[in-house]
Amino acid sequence: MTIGEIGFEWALEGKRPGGHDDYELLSWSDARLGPEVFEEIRSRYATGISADLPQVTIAVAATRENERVTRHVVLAIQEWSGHRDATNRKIAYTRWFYVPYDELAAHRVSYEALYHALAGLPATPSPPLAVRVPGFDPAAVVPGPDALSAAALLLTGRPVCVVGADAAPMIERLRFLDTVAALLPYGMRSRLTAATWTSSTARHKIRLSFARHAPEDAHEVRWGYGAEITRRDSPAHVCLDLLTRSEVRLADMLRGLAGQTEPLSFGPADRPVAVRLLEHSGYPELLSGSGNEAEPEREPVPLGPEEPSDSGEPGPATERGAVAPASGAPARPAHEPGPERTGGVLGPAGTPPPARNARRLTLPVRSVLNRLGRGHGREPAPGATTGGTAAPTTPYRRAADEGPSAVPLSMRAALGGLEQADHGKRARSGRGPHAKVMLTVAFATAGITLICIGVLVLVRSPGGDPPTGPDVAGAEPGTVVIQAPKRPEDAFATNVVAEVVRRAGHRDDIRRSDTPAVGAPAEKPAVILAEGPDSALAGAPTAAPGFVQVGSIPVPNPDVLVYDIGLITPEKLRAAFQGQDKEVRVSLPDTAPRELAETLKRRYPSLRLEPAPGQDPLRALRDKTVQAAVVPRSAAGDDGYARLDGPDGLPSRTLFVFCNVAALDVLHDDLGRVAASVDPGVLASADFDSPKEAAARVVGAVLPPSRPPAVSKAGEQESDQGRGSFWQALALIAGGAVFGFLALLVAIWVPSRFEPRT
Amino acid sequence: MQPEPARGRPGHNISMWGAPGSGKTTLLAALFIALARRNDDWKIIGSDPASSDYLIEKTNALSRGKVFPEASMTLERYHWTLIGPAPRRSGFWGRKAKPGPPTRIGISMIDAPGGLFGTGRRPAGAPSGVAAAADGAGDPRRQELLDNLEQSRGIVFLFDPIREFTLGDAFDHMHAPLTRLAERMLAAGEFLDGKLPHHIAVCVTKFDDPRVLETAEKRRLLTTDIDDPHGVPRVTSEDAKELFRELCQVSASGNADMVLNALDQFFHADRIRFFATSSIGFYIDRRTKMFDWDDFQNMLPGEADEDSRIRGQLHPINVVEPMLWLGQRLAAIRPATEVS
Repeated sequence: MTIGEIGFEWALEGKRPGGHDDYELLSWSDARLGPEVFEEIRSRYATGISADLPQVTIAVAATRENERVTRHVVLAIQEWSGHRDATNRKIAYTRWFYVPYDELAAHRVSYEALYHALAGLPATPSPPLAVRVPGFDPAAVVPGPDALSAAALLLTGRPVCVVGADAAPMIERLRFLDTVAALLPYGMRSRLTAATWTSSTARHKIRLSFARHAPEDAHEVRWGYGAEITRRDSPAHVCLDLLTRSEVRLADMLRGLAGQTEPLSFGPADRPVAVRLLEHSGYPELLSGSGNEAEPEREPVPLGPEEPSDSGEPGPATERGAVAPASGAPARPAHEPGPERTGGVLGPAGTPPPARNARRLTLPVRSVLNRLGRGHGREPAPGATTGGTAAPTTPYRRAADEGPSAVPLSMRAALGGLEQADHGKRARSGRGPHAKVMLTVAFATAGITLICIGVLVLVRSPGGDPPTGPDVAGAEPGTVVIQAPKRPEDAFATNVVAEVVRRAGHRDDIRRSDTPAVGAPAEKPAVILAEGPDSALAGAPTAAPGFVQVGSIPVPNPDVLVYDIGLITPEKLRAAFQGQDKEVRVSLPDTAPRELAETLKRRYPSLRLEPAPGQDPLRALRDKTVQAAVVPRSAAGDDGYARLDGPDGLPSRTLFVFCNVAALDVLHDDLGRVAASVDPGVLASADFDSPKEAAARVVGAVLPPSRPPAVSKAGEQESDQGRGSFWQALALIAGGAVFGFLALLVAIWVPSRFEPRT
Repeated sequence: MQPEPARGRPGHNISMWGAPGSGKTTLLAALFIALARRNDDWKIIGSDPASSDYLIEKTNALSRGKVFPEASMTLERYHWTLIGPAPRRSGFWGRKAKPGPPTRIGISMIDAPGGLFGTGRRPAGAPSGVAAAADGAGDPRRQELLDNLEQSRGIVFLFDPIREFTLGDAFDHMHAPLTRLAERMLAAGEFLDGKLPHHIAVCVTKFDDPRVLETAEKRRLLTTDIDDPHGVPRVTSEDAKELFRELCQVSASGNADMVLNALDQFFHADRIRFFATSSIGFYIDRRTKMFDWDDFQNMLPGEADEDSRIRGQLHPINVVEPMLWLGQRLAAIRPATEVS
């Protein structure tokens, strides 16, 4: 990995501390680029403001100076400034960094590396304006199904929005953007706009974005899962196929793509080129066998402003930033062989791989990826290059010049379809004189086969044989037993597990007892919720033999801490719990469990606890004799007092989740992921007053909507099966008839369309 | 796979218009609470998931977190439906009438950063000629804002008397977009009678501030709704214009009266309505549950590095009324409230 020195220019957007004005440019590097360039970029790529800063936006721009066109990748870091405006609102700073694309491409720098290099600079950097950035290591990229889907869908020309990543940290999202970009030719980074966060209620011009809800015109990709890509999304379908071919070594392909640094847009002219580069990166022997004399067969890449729906990244058109015709595309640097793929992730060396790459795939993507050996790595195809040989960076040559055996026929056909779709014209078929006979026989065979199967299904349907296909989750369909504690406050954890089970397409059977670990079935799918060892109110965890711990779920406390905001701020109340303020008084109902009072006294000895009547636990707070009160959750919302969120309040409990092997088979790692997503800091809020709704919300943020239950009730199953079989048979027979008719048509009418091979 | 937000989308566009910090976002954030405090059957529902999210999050932040929303940095769009009680129908020959369908008013709100309404001044230290147009018309966000104003027929104009007293720039944030809007409407042939076709609800914000309340009291503009259990003082729509005029007298720049004149010049008199508005309302003591002239401030200004907070419960004043007025007027002009 090389370390390169990258130059940059910068601008700072924000408000002046204590000022009345809106956001504006505060300062900028007074070098080659003027403020008008920064003004335009900041207004063009505004994404809104997130409550969770920092966030990063990647924009692009082309500037012209003395007839020389310079492409820039613009990295914007939005973060809190620590200042406030005249109305006491927090001021966010957005730091815009213009980095020449040529310099990035020379070292093939990743967004994450660039972010790490620039984020540490002061708000107004001083010359020399250059940072040292490590080069990009494509071998460290391990794309999940979401990244594969996003990369494929980007090549449809429409924006792509990733949803369901609310809980993912910014740096992980940025790494995802890098992974997606790594699945495309590096040159597309010259036109790729991306953001780790965008407001769902704002319109923006970001091509690859994260948001809570996808815009109407964007493809939606679910974090950790991907998207269902149908044949209607033909370019995406083809690209996904290219990216997931079992005979292609991913490391080779990524190395080849990283070497393709010539700027490419997402416009209709360049997308087919990008697809061909994908193809060639997957089959480096094509290039090595075909020489490296040819230039890409494509239209010139327009550098002028393009509509976002087309290519999306116009360049600032200003005095010094006017865009120019294509002439100064950077020369491609020599490709440098990267290390072998080691299973790491894109990012600094030594960073552990993110767990999300191991997430379960949506069915369509999984079916494609199954060809990779169920996600256990790619097996090199027979004849494919092995070892660390780097893909050459030779530009693309048109397919007609290549050896006919180099690319599989299926891919050639798919690419042909893509070209036809993109260019809107029908290419002439090169089928031979036997095509008619072949087609007729194929249709006839398919028709007869379908009719036979249909008749067979029809004959067998009355008996109602049980379905023999494997369950979608890969396990015996049925019920998952949930053994949970009886305490009312444990309803949230119980409902979380039940919701996960339902979303996996199974029924839940909740059994509550004081000793949930006792009597848990070992042979059937079962989940046990048991007390954790860290609980202040409970003993050590117990689990039955054959059960393994998959996670832990914090328990919303039955009591919450409320306070009068007119008497104390939440910051001061937290400080009191940490022993920094000994004047704060907190009331505790006299009906509270003795253990609670003892625990509070033990943990927070400096806290002044005052008794309050159990019938009216808020009385002391109303009388202003205390600043805060511990009250039952049911009484907390009565008078509109604020609750103290966060882990600093009352002692908390945790339930550990144990699964047996059968449960793991049907739930995979869903439970662990959901459990890990529960933020203990918000459990006091009213969102958790209703355990069932809260559980559905928590699970819904991590898992996709539920699949239909794998097993229906016995009676329904039989009748549905009978009906289903009948209609299935009918459909098969009808399909067979259609094929037969098509065979007839081909035999009679079609011959004139086929031309003999010349 | 993709949601279907287009289905049931409301058809009436309403734009928020006001200087930075005038309370546009806070007013929208308080809408749900304002409706929940009313005794009638009006409710607000998001027409798409993102708009529902906004209602839920901002309502929680105001009512539980007691904090004000952050300043907007880009144009935000919210699609909501106001659903009200079914209109009463008289039965034929004295027979009991069948209940009709509930009133539904679809609104699309546009909340823009207040700076976009300003004069587009150059960045500090920039050489002359940086801002292409005097009002920053080259800014794509301003163009989008004007596009929305042109397409909308309802405007909620927020006049911040505290900012006017301190800076006096309300007119600066009004005349440039107003002139551009008039230019567009003239070109589109919708300025035929010399007025804009828009309805405009002029909200005098921060009515809970002691300086504004005292001004209203001195001018004897305060009334109390006999149905209000808290006895909160209010200014009727008829008197709100007088309050507006009175507050213009203390403008730091002395230009505020031009705002009033511009409203009269550009809008039909029957399409202007004034409201004295407070998004958070007055502090109501929990024990007495009555408004107290000696203790009514509901906003706690934050110290050094603290957020300003809301002291007690929210009792928004004239927050939903401008929306309902605009929604009902626009629905009366163009009854089709839904587009499929």
